[in-house]
Amino acid sequence: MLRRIFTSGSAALVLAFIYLPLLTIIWYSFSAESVNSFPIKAYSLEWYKVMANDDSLLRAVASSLRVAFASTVIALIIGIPATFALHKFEFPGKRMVERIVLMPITLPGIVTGVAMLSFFPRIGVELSLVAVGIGHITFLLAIVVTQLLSRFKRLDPNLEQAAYDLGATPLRAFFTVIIPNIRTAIIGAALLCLVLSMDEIPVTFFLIARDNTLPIEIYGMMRRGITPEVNAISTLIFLATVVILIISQRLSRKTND
Amino acid sequence: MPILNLDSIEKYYGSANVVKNLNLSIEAGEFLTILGPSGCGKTTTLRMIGGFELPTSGTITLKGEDISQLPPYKRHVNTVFQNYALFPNMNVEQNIAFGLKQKKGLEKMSASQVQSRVDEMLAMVQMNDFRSRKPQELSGGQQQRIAIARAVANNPEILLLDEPLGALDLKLRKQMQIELKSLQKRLQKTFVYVTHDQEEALTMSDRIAIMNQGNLEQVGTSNEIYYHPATPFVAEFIGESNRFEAVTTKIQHDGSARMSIGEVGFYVSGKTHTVPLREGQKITVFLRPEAIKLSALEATNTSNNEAMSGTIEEIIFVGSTRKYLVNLQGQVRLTALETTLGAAQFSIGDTVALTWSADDCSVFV
Repeated sequence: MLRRIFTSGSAALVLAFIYLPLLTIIWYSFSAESVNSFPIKAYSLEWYKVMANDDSLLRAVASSLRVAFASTVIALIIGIPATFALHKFEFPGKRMVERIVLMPITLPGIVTGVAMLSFFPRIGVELSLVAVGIGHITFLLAIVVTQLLSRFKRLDPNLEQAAYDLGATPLRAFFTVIIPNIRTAIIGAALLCLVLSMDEIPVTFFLIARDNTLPIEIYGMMRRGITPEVNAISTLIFLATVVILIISQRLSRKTND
Repeated sequence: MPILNLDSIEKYYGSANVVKNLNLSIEAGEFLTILGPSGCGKTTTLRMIGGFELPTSGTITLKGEDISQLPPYKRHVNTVFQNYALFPNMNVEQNIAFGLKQKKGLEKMSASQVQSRVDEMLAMVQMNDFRSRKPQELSGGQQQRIAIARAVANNPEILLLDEPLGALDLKLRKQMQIELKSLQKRLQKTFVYVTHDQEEALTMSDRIAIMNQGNLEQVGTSNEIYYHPATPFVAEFIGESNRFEAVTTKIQHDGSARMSIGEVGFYVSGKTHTVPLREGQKITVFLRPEAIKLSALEATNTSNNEAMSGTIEEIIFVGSTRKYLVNLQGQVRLTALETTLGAAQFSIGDTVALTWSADDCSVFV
């Protein structure tokens, strides 16, 4: 009995530790006052209206979406064939390549950011959203490779051979048999990429020019103090992320069948 | 003229020589089974015909054309895979149509031609009612039929089957064996079938090629392989055999010879060995259990061979037959069979006479 109270109690504590701040923000976002104060005296959607009229915030959302979609699509276009090749072909140093590709995930973002900041101008890439996008692609590639490599390993190798056997060229087999059969894993990886790109700060911070992405814009707003508007935008980001994560979880579970 | 020729095929994986100097001709319209224990090179051989592996050296000729180095999608052979390998993203119809849609140039088929061929294939395997199902929604036996239909749809010169019945339960397997054999007869297609199941091979094949450790041991009809094994491996691998050592004591003009195992003597005819024997030579004899006749000791008539006596040590009931383990005068222990239609003729401890025909042994030096 005591043990049950202890285990469920500690689980509750952990969850509270993670989610209580988030819930507080969601709650405060509906407050009518301009400072976070407890208890909340009046509720309103005031701050959501302010947010909807904040041009620079909306521009930041648009920039973030553009960066996230573009870098995700490019990461997939490069990553899917690369992962397939990595899975299929044996070549000297294959293990090492598999590890190196994953480096950008483990490497602190600040290191990648500083490195790119000094490298990009030298190869003629100016600091801009394009630079940010390229920066994101480097670590999104790592995400795509990890997500898809495990899926390729579970794919029946006979499917590809059966396609060849029936007369399909390698290219046709890739598009008509391989891609459709890892479709859910691709969508899952894409959603994960979108979320991670939308959320990225360290690399973005070094590569950004005039146009802010959403996390950078929020970070800038915070320097002027925690406004209730930040609560509102945080709430929306939180909800969007939860929805995307649920979809991606569902999809990856479906692929496991 | 054979439809397929394997000529001096060698296959190495690194330094492992998995197929050794293989020469095999396959006749058009025959059902040829490559049989052997796991790791004997049979699947590798099939995969080289299909194009999934390339031979290290040697040539594969299909209808006179050298296909040794062609990729699978350029070979007019199709494969039924061991686990069927149906495309999970397509339904039954789309699976069967897949190969038809790959055809190019003069062979290109219109949508209606594809459809009618698919219908024909579905009818052939009696799966009309399942055309819009996904493979995952079919039982093992049904998936098997679709895999066959998909491979046959392209009208290949040769159909390759890689242990296609391995995943099915015994009863379904027996039924599919008969279906496959009758399908092969009906289509008059060349089937090359790989299995480790000798009963399957004996039941279905026109000819059987037996492989062991990368070597082709013997090619022949079920009868030839069963009754006239070319190597000790084949004699031991196919069916059950008594194996014992003996010494040649006398050679006759007709090639027959007298053998002895200790005190016990018997004759073997000239048909039982391919190489001439010498007197005093140590040889290995294989003898099928069903070739040994047991009888009560006094009623023995010595027609072809003099009777030998032995003591029954054990009786094992195996369903349709009864196995007797007979100790032959303290020299060897032989297994003899009796049908279980009647009651057991003998009991443990009985002394019985053993006879067999001089033709029934296989003798190897």
